[in-house]
Amino acid sequence: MDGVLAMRPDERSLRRDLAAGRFLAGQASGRWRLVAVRWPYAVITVSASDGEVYGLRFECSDYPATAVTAQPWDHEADCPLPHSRWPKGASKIALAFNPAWKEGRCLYLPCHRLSIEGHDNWRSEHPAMLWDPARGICKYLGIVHQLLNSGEYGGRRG
Amino acid sequence: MTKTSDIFLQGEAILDIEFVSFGEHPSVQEILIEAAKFRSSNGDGEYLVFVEDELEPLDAHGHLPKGKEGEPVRVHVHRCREIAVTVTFNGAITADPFAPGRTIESVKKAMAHALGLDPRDAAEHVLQLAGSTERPDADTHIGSLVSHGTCVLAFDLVPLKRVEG
Repeated sequence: MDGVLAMRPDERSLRRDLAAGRFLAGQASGRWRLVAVRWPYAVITVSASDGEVYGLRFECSDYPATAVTAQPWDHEADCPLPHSRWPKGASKIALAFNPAWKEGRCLYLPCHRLSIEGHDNWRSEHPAMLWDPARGICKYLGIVHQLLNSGEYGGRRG
Repeated sequence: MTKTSDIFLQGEAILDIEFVSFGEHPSVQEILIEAAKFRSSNGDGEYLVFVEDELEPLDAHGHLPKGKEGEPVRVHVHRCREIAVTVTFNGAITADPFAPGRTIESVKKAMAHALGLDPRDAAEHVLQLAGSTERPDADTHIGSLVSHGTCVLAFDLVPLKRVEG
């Protein structure tokens, strides 16, 4: 209890969301799985239609008021996922999982803290994919899960 | 050690998916009492308990069935026995009734099939609440989206757009 009280409000909010029904229901469905929280980071895997799982390391400072960042992550070796093991695919997949964007530290998505910068047009073009503090990290995970389970997903590179 | 039964609870006027623990084999009445605590408002009429994706509600005097391999049972509490769902896609409209405990994902699959989309094309589309930009999560029960005791829902089936530019 003392540990919870000593936490920053943003960490407390993230841990509350990770223990809440929406996150646990997605985890029980096999859509995603919490690996670890080491504040301000959380590592969560998301499952793809071919059974592959992709780790993401989220940076969650000022959660949920500020959008998170997410970097493809090797959740077993605990290091950035080599570009050769990122997801591949047509169109939406190639654009979202682009290792050349911000040196591979980001997904090219409107719900991403860094990617939305300089893309004010996305606010009108992709309103359903913007960060939503009320839905928090589950919304981001849902968008990634949708991509990895779409017909355009083409498996792991390499 | 006391055994417990965990459920994922959704329902009318319940804003999110709630994770709730009971003693072993909770009764339908126990679930109704617990669900009332999560509702933002209560209405007149009888609330019914559905298991996810099941057509018929549980007997009001019965108990919750066990989950598969001890997994939490997904439960929905609503006054509507069914929701009249309309989906619009490229000018075509299809309508069908569904139990309130049906998920967005299962309703999308059923309606996409009715509209002639194959599963690969259906995977490139999502349900969006008509007149909004709101796209409920795949495991949201459709009854959670119906307010004020009505039993009607309208969606557009929209393509997942590429993010570029």
